[in-house]
Amino acid sequence: MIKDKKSAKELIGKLGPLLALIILCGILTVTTGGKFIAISNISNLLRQVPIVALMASGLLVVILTGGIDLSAGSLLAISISVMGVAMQNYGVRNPAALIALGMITGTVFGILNGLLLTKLHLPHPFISTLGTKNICRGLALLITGAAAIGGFPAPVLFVGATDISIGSMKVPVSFFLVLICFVFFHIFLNRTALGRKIFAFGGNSEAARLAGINTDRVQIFCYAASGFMCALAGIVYVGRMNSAVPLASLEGDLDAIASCIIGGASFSGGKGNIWGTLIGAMMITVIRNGCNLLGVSSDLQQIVIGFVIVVAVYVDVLRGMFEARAKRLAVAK
Amino acid sequence: MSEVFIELRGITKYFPGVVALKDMSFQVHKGEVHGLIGENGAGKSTLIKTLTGVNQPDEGEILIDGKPVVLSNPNAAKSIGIGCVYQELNIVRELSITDNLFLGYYKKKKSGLLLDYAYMNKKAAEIMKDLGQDIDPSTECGRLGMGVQQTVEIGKSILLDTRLVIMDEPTSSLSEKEVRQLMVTVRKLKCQGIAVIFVSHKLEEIFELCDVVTVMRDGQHVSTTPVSEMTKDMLIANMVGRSLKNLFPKKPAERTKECLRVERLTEPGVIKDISFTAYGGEILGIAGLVGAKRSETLRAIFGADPVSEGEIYIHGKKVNIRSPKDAIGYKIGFLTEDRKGQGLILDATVNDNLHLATIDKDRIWRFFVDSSRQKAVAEVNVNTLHIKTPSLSTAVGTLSGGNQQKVVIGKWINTDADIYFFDEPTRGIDVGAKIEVYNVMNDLVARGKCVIMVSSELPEVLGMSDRVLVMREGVIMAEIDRESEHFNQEDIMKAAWGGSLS
Repeated sequence: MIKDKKSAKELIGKLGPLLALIILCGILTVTTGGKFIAISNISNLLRQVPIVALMASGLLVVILTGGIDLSAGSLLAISISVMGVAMQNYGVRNPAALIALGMITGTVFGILNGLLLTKLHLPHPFISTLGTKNICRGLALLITGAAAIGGFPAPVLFVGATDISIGSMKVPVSFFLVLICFVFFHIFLNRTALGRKIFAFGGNSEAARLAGINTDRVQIFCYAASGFMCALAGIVYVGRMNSAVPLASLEGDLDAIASCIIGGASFSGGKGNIWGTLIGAMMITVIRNGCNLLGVSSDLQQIVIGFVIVVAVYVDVLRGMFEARAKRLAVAK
Repeated sequence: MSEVFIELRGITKYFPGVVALKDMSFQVHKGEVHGLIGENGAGKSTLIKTLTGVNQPDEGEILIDGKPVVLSNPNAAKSIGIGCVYQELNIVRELSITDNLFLGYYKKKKSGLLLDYAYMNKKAAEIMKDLGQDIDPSTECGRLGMGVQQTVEIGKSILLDTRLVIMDEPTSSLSEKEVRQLMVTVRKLKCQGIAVIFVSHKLEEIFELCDVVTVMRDGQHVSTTPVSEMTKDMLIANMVGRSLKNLFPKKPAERTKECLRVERLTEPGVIKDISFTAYGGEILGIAGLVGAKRSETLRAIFGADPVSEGEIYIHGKKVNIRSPKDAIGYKIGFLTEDRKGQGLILDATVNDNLHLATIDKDRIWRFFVDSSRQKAVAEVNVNTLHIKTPSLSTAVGTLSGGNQQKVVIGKWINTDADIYFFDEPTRGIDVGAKIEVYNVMNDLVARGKCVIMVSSELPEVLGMSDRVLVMREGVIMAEIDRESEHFNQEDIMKAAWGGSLS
C-alpha cells in the first residue's frame, strides 16, 4: 500500500540552509580565534536575532501567498511610536494597555495593507505596502516630533530587556518568545485549515478560489499577521533600546524578507517553511555579528549580505531546476 | 488556374500519444483565398503551426514554387513570405500604427542612429490605405477597433513582402461591420497576387469569400473543392463523417428529480438568455465550437465570473450564488477545463490536492485539520478512482494527465457534491484514462447525481450524454434528446454552425 517516504535528497534540500549556517559559524569561530563561539557572544547573538526573526515570521506568511510586505519596518516604527505618544502625551501608564495599543496599531495597518490589495485591487502588494511603508514612517515621525520617547514602565520593557541565566549563559527572554512564536507558526501553517489555505492560495490562487476558498479573507489575514508580528518585534525593540524610536528598523523589512528567502521561501508563493526562516534570520544576524568581530566595516557587511542573498536564492534555483528535470524524467518513464 | 505557391506533401506530425497530422497534402495557388475548416481538434492549428515554422513535421515535405523548403523556425517562414494573423493579435496597444508595423524592422536614417519616421509614417499610411483603411498612422493602436487592429496585423505581413497570409479565425472577435471591412481587405490582398488561407468557423464567410475550401478531419485531408461546387450540407458531412467508435461505456441511469434549473442567465458580451434544466441520474452534454461560451456558462453558474441577470434554482429553490464558495455550499463541483491552471496546485501533494475544496470539513477543535481522516479519505480516493501515484505525498504535477484529472475528480467527490460540472473532462489524457473517467460519470449518475459535461469532441458528447444542449456564441441553439432523430453528429454540427434543425 501507499507509504509516505522522504528521499535523502529531499532531506538535504531541507537541511541545506542549516548546513550553511553551521559551516558559516565554523568559519567565523576559526577566523575570530574563538571569539565568535564565546559564551558572551552567543548571548549577544541571541539578543540580536529576535527582532529580525519575529518580523520574518510574519513576512513568511505573506510571502507564502506570493505577496510581499515592504512596510514591515515602518509598521514596527508606527506601533512603538503610538505606544510612546500614548504614554507621553496622554498619560497612559498601564503596561497591558500600552502593549495592547502597540499590537492593535500594527495589526490595523496590516489589515489596511490587505484591504488595499483585495478591495481596491491594487495590482501588486509591492505597491500597496510601498504606500503604507511611507505613510506609516511619516506618521511615526509626525506624531513623535521625530524624537525618541523613553521612560516606559518596566513591564513593557520586560520582554526585550530581560535575560535569564542558564548556567553561565544569559539567554534573553525575547529569544524564548521567538521559539514560542515559531512553534506556534509551525503548527498554524501545517496543521490548521487557515494555514493550509495559505499554502493553497500561494500555490495556485485560481484553483484555490474555484475550490471555494475565500481568497480575499486569506490574504487580509496574512497581512494582518505580518503587522501583528511587526508590532511584537516592536515591543522587543522598545525593551532593548529602552525607548520608542520613530526611525526604528529602517531596513528591518528587507532583512526580514532576506531571512525568508535565504530560508528557502519561494517568491512566487506556496513554498517555504518557518524553520528555514529562523535559520535565515540567524544567518543574517551571524554575518553581521561576525563582521563586527572581525572589524569589517558596515559597508562591507552590506556587500556580504547582498552576496549571501543572491547565492542562497541561486542555490534554490539550481535545486528547482534539478527537481524539474527529475520530474520530467519520472514522467517520461 | 494560377500557379501553385505552396504545396504540402504527406505531412505527418506526432505529439506524445496522438497523431496530430496524418499524411496531410494540399496546395495553395497564388492569389487564391483558400478556406480551411474542420471540427475542433481536426488538426487545423497544427497545420498552421507547420506552415509558420512553429512545428516541424515528422514526415513529408513542403514545397514553395515547386522547390522543397525546410521551415525550421518562425523567422524562416517569415523570410520566405508566409505571414500569419493569429486569433490573439500581436499588437502593442500603447504604440502607434507605424511603430507596430515596423516593430523589429525599423527603418533608420542615413546616419544610422535615428529612426526615419518621415519615411515610416508615409509607408505605413500607404499600406493601411491599400488595405482599405484611410487612417493617420500615428494613431495609438489601443484606440482603434479590433477590425483596424487586425488590418495593422495584416499590414505587418505586407511590409515583409508576404506571399501567403494565414488568418486563424480572424472574424471571431469582429463586429458585423468589421467583418465586411476584413472581406474588402482580403480581396485587396488577392488582387495583389497574395494567397490567403482563411480558417473560419462560419460557413457563410467561407462561401462568400473563398475560392476553394479544404476540409480536415482527425488530422487528415478529407476534400479540397471549389466553393462553387460545394453546399453547406456537404461541408458538414465531410467534417463529421465518421462512425462512433465503441469507446463509450455508457450505462443509462434512471432520471430522477430536477437538480439545477437556470433561467435567462445573461452577461452582456458573454452569454445571453441561457435557460435549461438538469436532472439527477442524467448526463447533460453541452456541445459547440470553440468560442461558443460553454465554459463561460458553467463559470457563470458556479459564481466564478460575474452575471448580471438571470436566476438559478437548485432542487427547485432559488439560490443566489456570488462566489465559488457559495456554489460549493449548494453542492456543485466544477472540474475546470484548465486542469493545471485552475484545478490543481502542481507542487502540492496528492493528499493536499484531494482536499483542496474540503480543508474546512471536519475540523478538530474548530481550527485544526484532521490529517488522519484526510489521509484515510485520500486512500479511498486513490483506490476507487484508480489514481496511480507512488504515494499520497507525491507532488501532483509529477503524475500523468489522466491521474491528475482523477485527483481533480476526487477533490469534488470529497465535497459530496450533487451536481458535477465536467468541462472537457478527457482533454489531453490517454484512452485508458478516458474510459475510467467515463466510468466515474456512469457511477455518479447511477447514484442519482447530476452531471453536466462540456466537450468539444462530438463522439464523446454523443457517446455519454442523455441530452445535449448545443451552444453558439453564448446562446443555446438547440436541445436534443438521446431519443431524438437529431441526436447525431451532422445535426449537432448544423446547430453549432448556426443552422436550424427541421
